[in-house]
Amino acid sequence: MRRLFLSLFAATLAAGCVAGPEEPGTDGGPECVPGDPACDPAACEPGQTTCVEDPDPGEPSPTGQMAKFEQVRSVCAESNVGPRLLRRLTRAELEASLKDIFPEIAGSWAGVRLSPDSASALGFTTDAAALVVAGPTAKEMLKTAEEVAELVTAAGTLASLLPCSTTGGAACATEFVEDIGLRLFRRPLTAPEVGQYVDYFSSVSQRSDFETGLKWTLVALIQSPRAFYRSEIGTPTAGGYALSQHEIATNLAYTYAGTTPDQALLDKAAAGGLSDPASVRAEAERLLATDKGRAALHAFFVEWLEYKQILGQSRDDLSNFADQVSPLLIEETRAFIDKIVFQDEGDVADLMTANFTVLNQELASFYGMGGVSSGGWEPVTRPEGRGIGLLAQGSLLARTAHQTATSPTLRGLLVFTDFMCNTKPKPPAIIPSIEETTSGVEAATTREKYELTHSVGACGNCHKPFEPYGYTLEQFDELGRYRADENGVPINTVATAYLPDGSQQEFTSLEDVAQLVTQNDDIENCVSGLLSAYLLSGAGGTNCLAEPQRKALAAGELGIKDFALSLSETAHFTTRR
Amino acid sequence: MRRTFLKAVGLGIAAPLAYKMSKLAVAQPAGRPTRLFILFLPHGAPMEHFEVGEAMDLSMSGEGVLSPLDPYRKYLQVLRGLSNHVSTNHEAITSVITGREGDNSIDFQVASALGTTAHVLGAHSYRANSSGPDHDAQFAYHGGWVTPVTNPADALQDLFAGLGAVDSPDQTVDEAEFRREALLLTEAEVSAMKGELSGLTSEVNKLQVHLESLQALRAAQEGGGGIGVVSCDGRPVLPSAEAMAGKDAFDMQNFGSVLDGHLEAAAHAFLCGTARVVTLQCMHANAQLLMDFPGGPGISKNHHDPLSHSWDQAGRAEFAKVQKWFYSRLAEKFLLTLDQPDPADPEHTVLDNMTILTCSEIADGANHNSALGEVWLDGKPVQSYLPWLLIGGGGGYFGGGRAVTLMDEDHRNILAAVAASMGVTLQTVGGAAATPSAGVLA
Repeated sequence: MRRLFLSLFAATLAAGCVAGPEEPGTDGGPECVPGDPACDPAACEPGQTTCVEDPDPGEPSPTGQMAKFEQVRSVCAESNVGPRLLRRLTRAELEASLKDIFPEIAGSWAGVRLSPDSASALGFTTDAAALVVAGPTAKEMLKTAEEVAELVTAAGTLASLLPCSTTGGAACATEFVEDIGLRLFRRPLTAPEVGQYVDYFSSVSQRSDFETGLKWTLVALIQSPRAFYRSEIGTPTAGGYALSQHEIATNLAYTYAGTTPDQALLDKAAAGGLSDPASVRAEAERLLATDKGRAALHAFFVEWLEYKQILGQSRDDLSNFADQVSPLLIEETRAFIDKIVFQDEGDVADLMTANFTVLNQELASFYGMGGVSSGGWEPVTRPEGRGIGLLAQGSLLARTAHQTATSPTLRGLLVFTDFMCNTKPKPPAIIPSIEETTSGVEAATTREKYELTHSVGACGNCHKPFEPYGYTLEQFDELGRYRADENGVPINTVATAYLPDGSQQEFTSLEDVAQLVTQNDDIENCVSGLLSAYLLSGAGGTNCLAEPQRKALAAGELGIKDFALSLSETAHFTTRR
Repeated sequence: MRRTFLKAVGLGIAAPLAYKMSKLAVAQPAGRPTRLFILFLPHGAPMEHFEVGEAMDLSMSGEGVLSPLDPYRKYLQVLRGLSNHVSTNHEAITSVITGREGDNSIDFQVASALGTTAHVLGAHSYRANSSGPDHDAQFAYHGGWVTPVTNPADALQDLFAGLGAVDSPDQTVDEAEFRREALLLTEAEVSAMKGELSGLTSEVNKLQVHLESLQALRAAQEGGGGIGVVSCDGRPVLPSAEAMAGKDAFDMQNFGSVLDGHLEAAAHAFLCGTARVVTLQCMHANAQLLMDFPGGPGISKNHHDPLSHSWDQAGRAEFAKVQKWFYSRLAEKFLLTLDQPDPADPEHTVLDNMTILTCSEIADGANHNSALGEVWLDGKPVQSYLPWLLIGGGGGYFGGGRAVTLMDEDHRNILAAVAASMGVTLQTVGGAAATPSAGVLA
């Protein structure tokens, strides 16, 4: 039998390339060594600038291209308009829609049966290219539709929803199809469509009864592709396609409220009241001002920062972290973002550099900060040197740590990928745990361990661009709390890291990194690109959709909320190429 | 006939089912009634406990990981030396049965070609964190990453579609027909939309995936998920699967019941002929599942780390015991049930007509390689390769009772062979030309 020697394995061990005890997302892919074409240049050769071509775009997905990080950060001279597309409702959108359309069943309906939505390359579940009805989705949708229809057509419920149902008949069924169809399709049904559903009702009811006929008609309406997909198809105009009034209304409702258009919006669409940017913007403002609107924008931050991932995670040094502390850390971040984005109408710089957080007494005690006088949540100014802005949020610092120690790798990737929109490097195939490789190595701190193993050889080539950012966050432990030392050794947060333009800069602390937002536009361009991609459902992989607005955001002329609203005024929001 | 009946009774199958098996044993489709089962076991194996040698001595190495399969050795082929050249490490989970990330997996391709349903089951201790190429990824791709049915009690309705009442017993009308008509109506709408959007390739493709999903769902509703010969009057009594009704399939303490339930349900669905293609993803690549749950191997350590990552002898022996436990469940809850005359083809056993592929994304758990290579243990090299097995005769397509040496052969050739055994010829797998491995053929 042929014998193969794993020179790769030996070489990797010699270089000391290791991962943390569990480094999610850094444990797969080809080996990354200097000069190796398998190594992703965007990851291993610092110096990529904006507007670069993806070195390995890969093949298009079956349903279209998805945006990638560097492309999202790109800035362009002019705004683009995306292609025509269909967008399947997300699980959350479907559930919110059905609850709004059928409030009568709110107390008895268990919710949609759809599996979690697939995420795009950017980590967003709103991307139209990733939202397909594949495999089990059709079955889950059918089950959802049947359960809703069963409840809606139950005795008592149906009578309140459809008074004529007490007498029944084809006319009553037609009324049902037209009224419920309008809500589910988010536009009036055409005459052939009404006829098709009424015919189906008649066929079923003749073999059963009126209620059963309506039930299966409703099943068909709910699982119809006209209901399940948001249409962004439009009709031909000079130079492109114009979305219909109802398509614009639908776009507004899901973008700014996460649910189906309400009656007021449908009425406005029917009256042609969404024909100019000011009217569209006014509706966006109305929707975003609601609780649903606020939740819809918060959903972006949840998916972007993934700060809810810590829920239920355990930490060896704190037995109640999973059950009691992690929910508080999540609420702190939600409240902090809410204060910046909605109450203060702040911009990206405010988000990154605010000198306060939002705490209750329990969490203030956890941090050792005090300053909370009420029984609820309130803004608390951070002491000097205890971090600023989003990067100092306990939920993010804990998410990028392990059960027993921090992870400069994960924290470095947080800054490098999530805030600077660089693609995460592909790690080598074989990664022994850091405990194995540093066994017997004299290293007093986490940083020393990582520096001994990640800053040299093949590993250093890939880790150098991002890991130093992680060192600057070492002042905070795996629980997200400030620490002055580790194992009696003072924390060293000074590190030299690469910027997106390839230059190097020395940072002395978390605050230094956060202040980057005031020195160049990279972080603003990353955030505005990501927010556009999220809210505009991927736009068919098109970037640079709102360039004047992005410039205004970078210049501090727009707050984050205003930027989100301004997307409704872009050409992409109402037209397609 | 009497023999079939008695054996079924001996297996604990309810009497009415056994009778129907006997009664219908004469029914035989034109070709051999082949069935496909794919079982994913993550994170490879400790090779010094897995190796069976050219003579296929299942107990020759250490703990003898494969020794529970000894009663079925005549159906077994150990594929020595197999490699995944497409991807490596945990990321390889995306290419194990697809050939490459983003291509439809072999179960779906086979099921689509046969006009049947590809069922996907999952024995997991927690929900997937991602749908793409990650540690906790899904395994099957049917136009999108498939979220498996995780509770075996929930899987029963799908696996035994067409057997027994789906709707409540007090219903006086056949709502199954209304369901079928609703699906037909929706299919017509999707087809119409495809026509309206011709020219928008990506959107048409999206709708085509939707349409195929609806058609597969309707086929399953119509009882078209099986081999064409249903040999059971009703759903058999399946204690392990039914015991999970109302229980949390993600509770680690229930893992043993979930795995047994899925294996039991799949086996009986194959036996009854109500399912033809089933895939079972057993855990995620990085399964932090304590292996001390009731009925388990009794080792109070996590499957992924430290067990599968062990380099020391004691740790690797424990990992071997754990992997061995999975094969013992396969033998007890699945193979035993199917080692009897096939009701649809009494001249052969069900296992003669089955293609069972057990597979993993990694060769040696600690070394994380996915291609043929050596791991150095205590200063000595040990050959490692993908620990894949073929079990069953594949309707006469496969040989058995042997170890097959496939020096660094591409795993996609095995996928091509699996498809071929089901009567589905694939010129390419995962975008590359693939030819059924000659060494595994009868």
